[in-house]
Amino acid sequence: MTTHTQSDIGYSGARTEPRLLMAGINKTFGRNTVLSDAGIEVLPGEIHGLLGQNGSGKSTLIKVLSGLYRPDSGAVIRVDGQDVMQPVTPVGIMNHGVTIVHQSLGLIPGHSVTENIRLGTLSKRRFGQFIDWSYEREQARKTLERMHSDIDPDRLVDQLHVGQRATVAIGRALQSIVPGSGCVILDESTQSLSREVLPEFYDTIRRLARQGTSIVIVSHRLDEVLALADRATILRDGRVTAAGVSTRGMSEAELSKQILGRQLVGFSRVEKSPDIATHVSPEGDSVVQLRAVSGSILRGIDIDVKAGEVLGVIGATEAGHEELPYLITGAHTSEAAGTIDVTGDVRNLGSLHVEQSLADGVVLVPNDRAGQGLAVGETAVDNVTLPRVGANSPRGVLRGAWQRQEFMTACAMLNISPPDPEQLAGSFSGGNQQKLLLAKWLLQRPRFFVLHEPTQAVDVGARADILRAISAVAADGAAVLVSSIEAQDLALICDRIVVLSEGRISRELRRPFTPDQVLEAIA
Amino acid sequence: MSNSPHPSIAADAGVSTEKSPAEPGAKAQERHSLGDLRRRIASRYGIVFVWLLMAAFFAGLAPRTFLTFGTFQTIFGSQSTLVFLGMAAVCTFVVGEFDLSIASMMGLSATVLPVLVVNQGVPEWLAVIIALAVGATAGGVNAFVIVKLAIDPIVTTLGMSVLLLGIAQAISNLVAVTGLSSGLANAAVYNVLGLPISFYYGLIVAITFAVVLAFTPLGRHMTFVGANREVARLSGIKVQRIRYGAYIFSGLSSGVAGVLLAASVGGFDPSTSGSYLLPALAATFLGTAVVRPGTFNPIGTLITIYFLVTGIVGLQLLGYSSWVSNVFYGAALIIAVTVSTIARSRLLRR
Repeated sequence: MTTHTQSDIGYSGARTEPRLLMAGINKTFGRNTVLSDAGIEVLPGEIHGLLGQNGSGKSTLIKVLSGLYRPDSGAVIRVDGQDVMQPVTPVGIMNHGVTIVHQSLGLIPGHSVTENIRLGTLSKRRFGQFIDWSYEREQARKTLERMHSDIDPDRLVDQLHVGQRATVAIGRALQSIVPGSGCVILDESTQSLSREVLPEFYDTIRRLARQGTSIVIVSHRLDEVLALADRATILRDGRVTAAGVSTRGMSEAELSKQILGRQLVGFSRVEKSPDIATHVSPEGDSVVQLRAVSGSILRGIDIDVKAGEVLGVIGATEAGHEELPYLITGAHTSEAAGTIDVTGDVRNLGSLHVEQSLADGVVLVPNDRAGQGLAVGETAVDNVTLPRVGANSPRGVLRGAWQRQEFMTACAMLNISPPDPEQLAGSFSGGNQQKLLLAKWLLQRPRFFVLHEPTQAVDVGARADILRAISAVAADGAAVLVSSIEAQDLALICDRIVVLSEGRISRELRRPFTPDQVLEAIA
Repeated sequence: MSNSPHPSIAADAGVSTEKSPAEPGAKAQERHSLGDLRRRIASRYGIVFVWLLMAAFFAGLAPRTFLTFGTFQTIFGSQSTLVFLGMAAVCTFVVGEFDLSIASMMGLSATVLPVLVVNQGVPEWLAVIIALAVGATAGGVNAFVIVKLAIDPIVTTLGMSVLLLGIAQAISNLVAVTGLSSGLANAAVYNVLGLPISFYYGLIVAITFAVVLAFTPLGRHMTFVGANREVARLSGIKVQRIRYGAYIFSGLSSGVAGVLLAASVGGFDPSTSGSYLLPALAATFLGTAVVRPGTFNPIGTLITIYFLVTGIVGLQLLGYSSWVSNVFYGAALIIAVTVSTIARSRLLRR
């Protein structure tokens, strides 16, 4: 099978209409061309991966399909051979049997699981003019059952954790699919599903596909795409570089080479760099002492981190690793107890302030980028320099030179693109926003660097840049704590990994370890 | 482009000249193209062109009344109260807050001053200080309820605005109090280069405010508290203190507006204070379409105040009666919010 004929598999031979065809999609924002003659062809009953780096145009392509963005003229969008009327509207595309689960999940806060699942379908089942809630609740429960979930349909979606919310959103999308037809698009929506439900979720997907429904998976998890997808379409810089190639027998490395257009230099460099693995002496002094740290999940854990050490913290859902970074940096204090000692002064976590933490050299890179990390409506340079404007403004005058300098340093260090300081943070691609966030705090020169999911929803190229930068911080002598569920990333950069379970430390792993060993330790 | 985040004051002059060789990337350079510069000027100072057009229009229709020094004085000499109210509004909007009680705080200060001087015989200088303190205190009460007790700012300041109006009416016994000395009036209306000195007070405050926003850490902190409170908090910014400060400044600035108003007229009728709210808000919102599109900013607000009053004075000179000001301000508020919403979304999508 040669590469250039792969895109024709099944289609030209069997002469079936593709379930979904997008072709000749161009999209420009001002000066920036985001999509250039892009497209995708999905066959009935196949699982199709849509891959590409952050900023490659994946999300834009999906947003064109959902009607959020209007493509430049000449676009072809066809479902089962029928042209979709343009401009596409969300309802219009849904009537063609295409449902999309966006990364943001699209749940309405303040409303129950039932309301969220049945919204949009409510009007079909009415007695008189009133909604039959017991019927709706039953339907919602059935939908959740299909997802192997026992979430109470009466709970508010706000009370669910992130994995449960994803279950509700995906279940909602699946309920309207008539078996054997339609197309479900999962746009980065599986990333918050918990590890335990993933196998069953994959089974659901495979079953749907066997019945004839098409599935498009937009994902950063290459392993997920390889495990599920029959074929993949790869975008790079808004162009299709591989249209519907078979993923059978492909390795992750081959796939990421296709995505990046180059070998994964950065990855191996982080992994093999000897100084990172060896420069931490086991007898070294602990610069950070965490004692009896408790929160809503954590039950009094003690952790020491040495200078130059990268400590990983991992756990299953609700194990406590999600709250640790916020408790020890003064970000969340209401339920916090315990102490932190970085400078020789013991600080009480229950009354710690972020200003105090920063003064002690304790720096937090939060997980919620748009909510806690960056002000997306302000410029990149203003965001990056924000924590230091007070200290760097002699006589209360804020000058431009040092800010420009910092931003350039950040761009050089992390390959931020475009290196335009005046662009609004929100108009950078996801991976570059994550780099901006990292740069904002790297430049603070932390003594104790605390990160939560620093590589979330980031493509392979940006991931390597980020991991390398974190290693470099440790190599400079800082103590680093990374809380993440990405076993692979932790295995690459950590000297030691603490595994949490139900709020306590269940295991501690020392280098060397493989991602599989880390995953085994969680289970 | 200059690295200044608030290019409102100096940066635009420097756009074409200040190209340091260290500027990263070709894309940043590209942006200095001529067409781009024209577009930027059009989007930032479009209202100034509209203003000039409008003035030309009135000058054409009513050359003998509109093109007089008296009209010029009416336009530029009568709005300092609105400028201080506008600054009060901008200050709260910038940090992501909302203050509907500015007009009532102004009204209370404007009532306290003549009541103290005329009815109680308090020395004028002391009465001025008390009137300003009353404004600042009212702002402090707003801050306490909104920041400390975490109550919705719209509800709180709406309640406060009616409450303070009632207090002002009570201490004035529901009548206009007049009788302030001409000495005090001079502090507001003393003629400098053909305009009352209060015009320059407004100018100075707006420029100072703009400089603080653009070129001080405090200004940057305020901007980020308004942009995303949680991001600001996690960056070590004292968010609560800044929110307190904004409401207190709002009260103080409204107090200054009240003192200037009472001093220039010689007294005040508290029941009229409500009519000052909408013009101030209209100018503040329309100001987001000027200088820094999509952003509340003091210079934009200042320009807009004089732009709006030019329209009103022009229409009145053409023979329309006083209802035009309501129509004009009301329409301006809606158009302003629409324009600034569109400007902001364009900017984000770029």
